[in-house]
Amino acid sequence: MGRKILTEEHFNSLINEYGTEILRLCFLYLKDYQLAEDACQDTFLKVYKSFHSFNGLSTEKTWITKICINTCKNYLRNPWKRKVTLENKEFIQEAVSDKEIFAELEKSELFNSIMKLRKNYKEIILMYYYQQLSVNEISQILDISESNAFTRLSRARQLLKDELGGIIYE
Amino acid sequence: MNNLENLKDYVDNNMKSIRITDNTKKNIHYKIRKNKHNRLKLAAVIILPIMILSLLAFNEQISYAAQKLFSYLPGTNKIFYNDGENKVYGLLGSVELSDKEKYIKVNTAYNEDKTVTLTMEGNVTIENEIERYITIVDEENNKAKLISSDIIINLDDYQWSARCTYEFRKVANNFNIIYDKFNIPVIMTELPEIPLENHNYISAQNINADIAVVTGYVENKLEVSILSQSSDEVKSISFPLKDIYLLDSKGNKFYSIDNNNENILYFDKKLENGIKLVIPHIFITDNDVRSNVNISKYDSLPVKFSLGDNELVINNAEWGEYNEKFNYRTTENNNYRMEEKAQKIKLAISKSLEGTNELKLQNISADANKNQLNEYMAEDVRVIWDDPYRDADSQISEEENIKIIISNIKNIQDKVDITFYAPVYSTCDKVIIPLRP
Repeated sequence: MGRKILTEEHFNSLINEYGTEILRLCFLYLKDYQLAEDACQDTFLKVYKSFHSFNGLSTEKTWITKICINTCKNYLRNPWKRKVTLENKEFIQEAVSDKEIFAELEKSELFNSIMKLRKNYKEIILMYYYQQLSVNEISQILDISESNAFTRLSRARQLLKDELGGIIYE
Repeated sequence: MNNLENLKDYVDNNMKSIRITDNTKKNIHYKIRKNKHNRLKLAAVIILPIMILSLLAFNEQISYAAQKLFSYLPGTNKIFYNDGENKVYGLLGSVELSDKEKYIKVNTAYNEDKTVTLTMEGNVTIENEIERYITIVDEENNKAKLISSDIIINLDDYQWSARCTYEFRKVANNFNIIYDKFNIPVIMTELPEIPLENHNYISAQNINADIAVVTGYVENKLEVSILSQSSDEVKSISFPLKDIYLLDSKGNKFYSIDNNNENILYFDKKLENGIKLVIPHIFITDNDVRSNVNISKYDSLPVKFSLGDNELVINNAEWGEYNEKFNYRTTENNNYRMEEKAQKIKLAISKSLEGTNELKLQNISADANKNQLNEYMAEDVRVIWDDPYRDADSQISEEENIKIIISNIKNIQDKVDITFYAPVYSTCDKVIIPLRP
């Protein structure tokens, strides 16, 4: 099996380039800073472990985002395990107040409505407008057809419009 | 902010304090080192079972309990009935074969007559063709026939999980899984019989289902697994996990502090005498009934239709025109906007049921004929407004009506063919299951 080598320098450059964006995406997904930290670390652990399987057909950002989304979904799916993991954390980060940050963000009615969307609608809005990924890239991340991604994005926007009484600019 | 295009700036500006720090990087590198250290050598590891069953014993009488024998295999979420003649065998624990980074793990295995059902995971190559790569043979080296398989592969890290059922020529309690040059022996043992006299079990006659509860402690929290089995294969059962609570002998309620989608709840409460699990209602989805109804703008209402055994009534159908707008960015990062005239129809369906006081219709799914919906081409992709995740469009109103909105109907349509399916019912009565302390 021909393995692609991920040098430490390349790995560190991936963390530097995408780390903050991935951490913020995890935070938006999980709404909990400590969990987001863990999910972000797990994402890069998986990047390190499975870099040999990165086939280069998508961009590195798309590939890492896909791993991140799957990691966050696993966290949401299995809340108990993640809580247990947290208790065993080796390093404790300085405290970041989830509530304060979300309170500030939720001053925007639009942001508030995005956060209230169902998971599959919320994630597509975040990927498209926050991560600025194309529909084609999103379809690769979510393993759905482009057509389906278009439709889902459209529905997410429609739901936002319905929620906000039609006041939304795209 | 009321512009989606500003979302990135808005979020980034408000999340300045959330960023990758040196500490985070240190943690990532620490996890990598730890992961390398924990890598398993080539070995078949048999993990001893967590005998949650030992917590199931029974000492108190309740009037509706059934006298049954059952067996339970942790991890399968399945109840095995035991008629005393055909014993059920299962793998207590798990078996893993690993070679450097590659592994196959058998998480559960149990037999029913000549078939064996396995759940496995791994990262060795199987390419969606598990039969080509993995062979199951009995102790006499007779190959078992794969009769069903369900495989999920995560292409990120080539991690797969599979649930497969194999058929042997005769009942096989021990067998071998062969992958390449490796052989994983699976030795199943007779599952202990649990006489369900009085606790942790109820036979819910009104929904033809059996419900059993297995308890244990994880990290000082009480873990309660709810297992259910419907005698009707086309009906699926689900529970309102957040509404389920423990009721102690003084009438105090304790709600779960956490739950997962596999019907496992965690409580900050210990088992004690007289404690009961209360399930306020149970949802039953009938996956085997559907009904096609044609709704025209010129129909006089109400329109009656049948869904399974239920007579339902469409009391109101409200048609409306609107412009469906769709704005997307192409792969070249150009913005593209589409706008198309469309119609939506809002239906109010009476959910009163005839013939049963025990079940209440909660919801139904509805799809319009795809040919009657708008579609267009975008970047050579045929897009149709049909979303498999659209179930949020139906709502239960307080007036005992189900409201369903079907949107993006072509503007030229003056009628629409709608398929109603998958009615969801809920039980009206609480289900109370005494738990063994």
